[in-house]
Amino acid sequence: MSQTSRAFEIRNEAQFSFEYVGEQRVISIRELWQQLRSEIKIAGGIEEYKTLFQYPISRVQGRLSALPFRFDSVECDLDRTINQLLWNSKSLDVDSPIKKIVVDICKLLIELLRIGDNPILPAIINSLDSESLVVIKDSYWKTSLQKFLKENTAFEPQVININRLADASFHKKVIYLGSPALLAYRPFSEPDTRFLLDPKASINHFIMYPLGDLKNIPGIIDGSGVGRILNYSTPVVFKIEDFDQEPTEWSAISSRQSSTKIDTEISEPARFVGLAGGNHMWMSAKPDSRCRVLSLSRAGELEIEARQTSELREGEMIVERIGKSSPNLIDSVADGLGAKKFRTSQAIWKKALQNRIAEVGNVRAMERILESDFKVEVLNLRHWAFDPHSISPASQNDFVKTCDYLGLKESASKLWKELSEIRSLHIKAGNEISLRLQEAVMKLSLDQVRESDGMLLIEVKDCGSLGIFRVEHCSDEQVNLPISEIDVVTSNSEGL
Amino acid sequence: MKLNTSSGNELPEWAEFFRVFGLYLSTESQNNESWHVFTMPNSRMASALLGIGYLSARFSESEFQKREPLDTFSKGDQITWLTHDRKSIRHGYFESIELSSTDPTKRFFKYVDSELGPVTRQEIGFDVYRFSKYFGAEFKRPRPLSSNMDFLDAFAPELSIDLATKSSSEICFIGDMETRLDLLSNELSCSGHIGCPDDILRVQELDDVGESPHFLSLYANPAARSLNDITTKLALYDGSAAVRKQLNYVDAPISVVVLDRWDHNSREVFATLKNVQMRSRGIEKKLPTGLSLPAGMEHISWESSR
Repeated sequence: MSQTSRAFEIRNEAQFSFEYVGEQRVISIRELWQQLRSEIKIAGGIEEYKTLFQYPISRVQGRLSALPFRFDSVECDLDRTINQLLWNSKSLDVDSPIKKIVVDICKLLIELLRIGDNPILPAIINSLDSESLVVIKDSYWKTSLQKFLKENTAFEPQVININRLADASFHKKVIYLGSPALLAYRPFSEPDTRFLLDPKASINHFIMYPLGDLKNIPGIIDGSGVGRILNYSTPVVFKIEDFDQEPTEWSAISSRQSSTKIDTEISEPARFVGLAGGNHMWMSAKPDSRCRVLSLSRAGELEIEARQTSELREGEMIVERIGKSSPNLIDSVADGLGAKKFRTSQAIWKKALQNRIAEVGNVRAMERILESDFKVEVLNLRHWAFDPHSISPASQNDFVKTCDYLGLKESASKLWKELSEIRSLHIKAGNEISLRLQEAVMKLSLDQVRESDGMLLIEVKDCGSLGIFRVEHCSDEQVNLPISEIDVVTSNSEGL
Repeated sequence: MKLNTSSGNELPEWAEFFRVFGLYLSTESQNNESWHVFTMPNSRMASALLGIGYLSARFSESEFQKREPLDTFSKGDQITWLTHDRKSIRHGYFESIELSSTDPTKRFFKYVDSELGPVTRQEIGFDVYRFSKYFGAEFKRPRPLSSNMDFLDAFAPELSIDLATKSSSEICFIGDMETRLDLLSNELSCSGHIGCPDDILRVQELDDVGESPHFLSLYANPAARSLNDITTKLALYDGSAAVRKQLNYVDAPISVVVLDRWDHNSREVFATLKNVQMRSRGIEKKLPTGLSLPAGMEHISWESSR
């Protein structure tokens, strides 16, 4: 009850203040970027121009206008961005208006690089106190900004991204980095203005460039009177539409995904998940796929909970293997339980399938032969041949008939016995992994998790490198990826 | 019957509003279909208080006070009775009546103290009532009248027993785990006794083990895999998930929706409800006279013929 009373109290007494940051060059970059976008549209909206110029400038502009890092810092990454833009602009005609704008933007970026000092930092220092919560737009920067503020201010404020504010507790003061419009903006949707309608603090301070003209904050029911009007001390310059479809840092990383798809490799749906500690992964988005989430038992102990991947939320901690070189957990643990000695049979079976597929031309052709000549149910032929997680047909009859076709008639019985052993050890391994992970997690203390910066490495027998990661970003979009790319944690710097 | 917070303070304005609005709902016609939608900056405890208000008005109605005379029962009727210690209720089927006149071997006496002489014994007749046990087996956990009898007694001093022995689904709470926690949280007090909404509302499927037929309200979790159709007098939808999942499966003359504005589906759900209003040609209603909406809350009501 006190929670609801507090929400009413804060909502009804909330104050909003807007502090403008006056670095003219950042505003000029914004203006030039808008011109650039128009020119790209005039040029036919060529995707290559967007990828080479519009998106990188949009991202750097986002960093400059809503984060306090020094302009010459690694985080702002101006040096590399300038070089990249200038290099890319070489492909343009000398008199191309796009080239002219890109070069002008680079000149401004070079000036900022020389200045170094970012006016957002002193504004934060002046506003920050021990009870402040700092809210940013892009979850990508959460960890590094928290560290930066700890090193550069007298306080250690909690930093969260705007999407997590719904779960945040009430604070005395919230400092927002960015304008209300920027923070409320959602691509292809109405602005999300909940933080303005029902704020989490009585004092709401925005450190912002004059971007976005969001003034009227409506309630849910028309004319109900709970809506607000924001009174800016200086008129905002840009409209909210200017944020249209700007890519975030996470989307830039996900777009680097190399889809070097081999014809025969199995693809499955996956969605991009940004993780703490500068990592990301593509998580299986099959309807029945599950992930392992760290949770607290009723007794207050850490435990592992199996969760459908579709239900994973930002802020939760998941257990995943690190790096593509790490073995698949099931295979690895099953090998430890005795499956290793049967792997040769699995390899013989898969190789024979792959060779025969190559001989007949493709999977579909071989399916037809097996179906018509051998009466085998071949729904999973591609998986039997190319998916390392798939073992064999479930029916011994189908298996024997397929072996007959593959020229493995003599060894069919032995192969079936050994593949069945692998299958049962895989099932056993699934239970064993849960037990081992639970055991490993129980050795951790809640404080260790809290102080981990969202990333902890754990040792589990036969499980290779495993980590517990805080989920910073979950994309809604699904893409098809080779299974070797799915459910593997990768560093954000990989592929740069 | 005055409810306070667990620390003994008066209920905050928004909480008192919902309690009183619940009282008002008990007077609404069951012949029409009415909808009431509220949005708030945080909706914890709102539906629980509304439910308490609604039921507490109905506590005083005659149907709650009614104790059937036993001679109106016939074999096979369901019946509940209190144990001697008044702590729990049993439930069974009425099996038979042996009227005293039909069995002369059954003789009962009472002793009469006379001022003028010795105590005398008078023969009287008793009717013997037999109850078969519920489905032939005794309850392993007979339901207590309330898990907090002191609180219930303080809240409804005259009526607590009648309340406790009355089986009826007056309200259905439809909400996620937070609703469930609200119904079970000890955030209220009455005459110094601390209690939770469930101590009064006796909500089915909260602290039951599926054996007890005694409840005044239902709880439905929209996250449950299989949901049944629900018929009730008052449907309380707590949160957007409740509306999204259950809207078409509940039949009630009065429906109240409480939306937390931080719930990211609240706007979308409100648009759905406006469609409900349009389809039913619901005519907008104002809040009852004397009841004013607390600052920070939104409200809309409409009514249509059922």
